[in-house]
Amino acid sequence: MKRSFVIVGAGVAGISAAKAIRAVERECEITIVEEGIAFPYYRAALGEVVLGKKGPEEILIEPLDFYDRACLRLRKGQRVVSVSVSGRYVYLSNNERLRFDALLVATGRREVIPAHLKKYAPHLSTFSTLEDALKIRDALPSLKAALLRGKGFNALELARVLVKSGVQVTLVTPDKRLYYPALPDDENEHLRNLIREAGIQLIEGDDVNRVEEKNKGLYSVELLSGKTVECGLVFASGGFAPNVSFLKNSGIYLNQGVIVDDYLQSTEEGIFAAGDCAEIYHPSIGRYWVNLGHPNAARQGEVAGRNMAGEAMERLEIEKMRPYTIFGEQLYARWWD
Amino acid sequence: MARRQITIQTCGGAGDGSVATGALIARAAVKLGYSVLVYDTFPAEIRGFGKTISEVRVSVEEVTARADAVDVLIGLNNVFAIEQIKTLAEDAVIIYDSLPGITVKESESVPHFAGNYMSPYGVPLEHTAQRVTGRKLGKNVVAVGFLAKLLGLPKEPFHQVLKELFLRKGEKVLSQNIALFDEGYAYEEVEYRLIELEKAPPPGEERVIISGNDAMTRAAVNASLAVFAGYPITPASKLMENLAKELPRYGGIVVQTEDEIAAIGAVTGAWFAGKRAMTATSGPGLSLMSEIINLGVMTETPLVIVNAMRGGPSTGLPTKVEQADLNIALWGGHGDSPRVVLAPTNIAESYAVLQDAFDVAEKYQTPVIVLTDKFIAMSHTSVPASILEEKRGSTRLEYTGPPEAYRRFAITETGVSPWVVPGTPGISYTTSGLEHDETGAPGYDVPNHVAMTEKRFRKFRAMLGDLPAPVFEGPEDGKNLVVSWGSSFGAVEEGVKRLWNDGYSIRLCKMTTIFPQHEDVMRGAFERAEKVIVVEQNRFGQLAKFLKGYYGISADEVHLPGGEPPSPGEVTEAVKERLLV
Ligand SMILES: Cc1cc2nc3c(=O)[nH]c(=O)nc-3n(C[C@H](O)[C@H](O)[C@H](O)COP(=O)(O)OP(=O)(O)OC[C@H]3O[C@@H](n4cnc5c(N)ncnc54)[C@H](O)[C@@H]3O)c2cc1C
Repeated sequence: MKRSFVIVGAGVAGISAAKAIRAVERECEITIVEEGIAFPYYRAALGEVVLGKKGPEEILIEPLDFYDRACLRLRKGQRVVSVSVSGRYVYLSNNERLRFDALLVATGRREVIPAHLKKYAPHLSTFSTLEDALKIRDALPSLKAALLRGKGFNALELARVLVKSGVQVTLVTPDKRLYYPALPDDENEHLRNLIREAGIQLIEGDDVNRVEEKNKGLYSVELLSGKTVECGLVFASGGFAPNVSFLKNSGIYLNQGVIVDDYLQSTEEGIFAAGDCAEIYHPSIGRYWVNLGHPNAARQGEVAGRNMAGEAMERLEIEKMRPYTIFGEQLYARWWD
Repeated sequence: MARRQITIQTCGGAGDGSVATGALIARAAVKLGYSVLVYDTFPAEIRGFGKTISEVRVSVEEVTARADAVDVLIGLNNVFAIEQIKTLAEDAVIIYDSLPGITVKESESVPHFAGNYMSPYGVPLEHTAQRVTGRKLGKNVVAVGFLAKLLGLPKEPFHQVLKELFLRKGEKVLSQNIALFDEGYAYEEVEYRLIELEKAPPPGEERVIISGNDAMTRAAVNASLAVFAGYPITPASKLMENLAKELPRYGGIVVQTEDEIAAIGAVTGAWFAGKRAMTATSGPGLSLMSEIINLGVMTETPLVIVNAMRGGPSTGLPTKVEQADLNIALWGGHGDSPRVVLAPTNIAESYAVLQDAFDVAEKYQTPVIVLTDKFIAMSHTSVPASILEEKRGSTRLEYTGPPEAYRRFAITETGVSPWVVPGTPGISYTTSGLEHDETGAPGYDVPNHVAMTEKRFRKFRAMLGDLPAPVFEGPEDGKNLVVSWGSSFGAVEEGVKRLWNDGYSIRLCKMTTIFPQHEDVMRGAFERAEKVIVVEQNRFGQLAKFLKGYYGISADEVHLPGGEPPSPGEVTEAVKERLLV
């Protein structure tokens, strides 16, 4: 029987793993299960989609014909709901059971809504998927003002593109840090200036208290300070969490993400993790941490893929902090300080 | 970009209601102003056994052909749905039964077999039906609800159709079906992408959905049909079944005979007695009727025979499509036995063509064979209700002279001899299958036979004005002349339109009257064209060979494979390489 590789998540990490496996093993079966319905794309380009500068077909990780050419089975629109480590099965939301010889968890991370704002979820916009970006793009023509709560990449990127589109943007951060992957103090100050120069109203040390829909698509946001802001879009991020809850009872060891060794193998033989959902020991920090960003996800995917398929195992070279382009500037950051 | 047309296929097993699903989708689409074509496929052996497929093409424009590919598959049975996947468009959407609570292996999983560019959406069809009605019945309505949401269509027209279908079964059945539909419509568990369909023009005049067999039923009743005799055979059976219900209400009678020979005998007898009569059959039945059709030619008795073609030879492919009975229709007689052969190209046309058949048969006292096929006879389409209204009556050339001077086969300029009903007092009516003289008495001398043969052929010139002339589309000076007939014409027409867009110089000819030929018109058309291409769905090139012999022209033959109705894409592919540029 052909060896069967299952990859959960068709982000950068998942796709580069699939390519690496195929390069080593021509005959095996490779199935990528992806919850979203779009063809795999670069999340970093979502801002360009909102701005209308790029269409969905222009931000693809691989051209459309890639999947057939590489003989990959891309199972879009299906979520993995659990994994049986001993049985070597993943279970899908459509009640299907897929057998695997080796499994890669490449499910990325997602933005979480702050606990105290969960009850307003129906009024809140999200910005992590293509669907989100298209929704915001389509709403732009009639959007005058937006309030974004939180720090971190998505909030900042959304602030940048909205203000560029002529939307009046208020950015509220609960503390004096503007970015999740911690920035050194001077970088933080630099970022603060960049935000102000862009014409964004920055409110630090305050938080959203209440969101009320006044008319259809028009919200009144009350801050803890008592201040109210009227706007057509409300975004609230309380940070990120790796998408690993489906592994809870699997026996695979989890911290915030999937704990992996230098070979990107989890605590279970033949089960690997890569990208934004993997937690790996960082010698210079002295503990496990999650690397962020797509260059990192691509590299981890590639190494994990080769290790899943190959005989000899290869170690991941842990990189130093990587620069991120935020507001047109390269800043150094790492996630989960 | 919004699509101008979409094809939805429903596939299921016995009792899953595939055909009913297709009908429900089609009726709602017509209410929204779309044009529809419904093509059903079922196993030949027993209806309601095995895999049944219903395909609905919904379009902003009129459609008379199947689409190139299926865009949406509704799988009411996952095993059958998996089999269908290879026939779908590369980017098709699949709605399948997600069967909550049951873990399926890859080998039983619809999404496992779906291609990388397809979107399989699992919806708990049976589960929902069970919950709403306590039975599995109605899972197809759940699927249609989800489909309507997927296409961004409003609920109301679907509710209306459900009302039309189920109100007579009681309030409870109706409200259950509405609930089933709404559950499907509201199903939110899967992420999906809207399939945008261009809005149809606002519905104008009333439109109804009918099959070719239905249209011909109305046509026959409205053409004063008095007697139908027949023996059931797919795909013609429904015509008899319809008439058995309808005709008695208008004072007519329907006889199911022991075989096709008896059927055509009864029809001959009815016409002999002055009543409009017809039979309907398919290839094997037409073979059996050959002998008596010749009697009709010789005795100048009108006959109307509808032959709904299926795949042959012999019992062949009872539930499939082919245009291969032209040869037997034209040449299936012994002796010099001319008969009128007509072939409507679509469901709407079959109404008028059958009425023409009655009029011409009666006026010119000759057998008329109307060729339809399984595609026309058993598919459904939307037509303006008004085209099913026209009424026709007797076209008989009555004898008005003195009784004693009556000669049944009087030689006239048109070849038509005035007619009386046998038994008219004072008139001696003599007829025979033997060659006869003007009085009807047997006469074998050579000059008489020559004169009588001439007379029988002369009628075919006289009748041309009463028969549909060839219809041309496209530039008169088109380099290429593409000729087609029968149900494949719809695909040919759509295919040629695409080739026009690609810049090809093509004149298109639709031939509804195959014999007699509108010779002057056709000769002119052949002379103008640099190349002639005849497209038809048979292996012989039956029309092509006939035209080549008749006109002494050369022509390229395109033989579309038999079985399923061709698609426009198949036509363009086959025709393109032969075109002069
Ligand atoms: C707006 C935005 C801008 C960004 N800009 C940059 C940038 O400029 N530079 C940079 O380096 N990084 C940027 N990033 C971060 C970068 O996109 C991520 O680090 C990268 O996508 C991680 O790749 P991944 O493959 O690990 O995970 P992801 O890309 O998140 O992919 C994981 C996939 O797994 C799927 N999935 C999750 N759970 C399941 C499940 N149970 N079953 C099936 N499928 C599942 C998800 O739907 C997702 O598609 C940005 C992110 C966003 C949202």
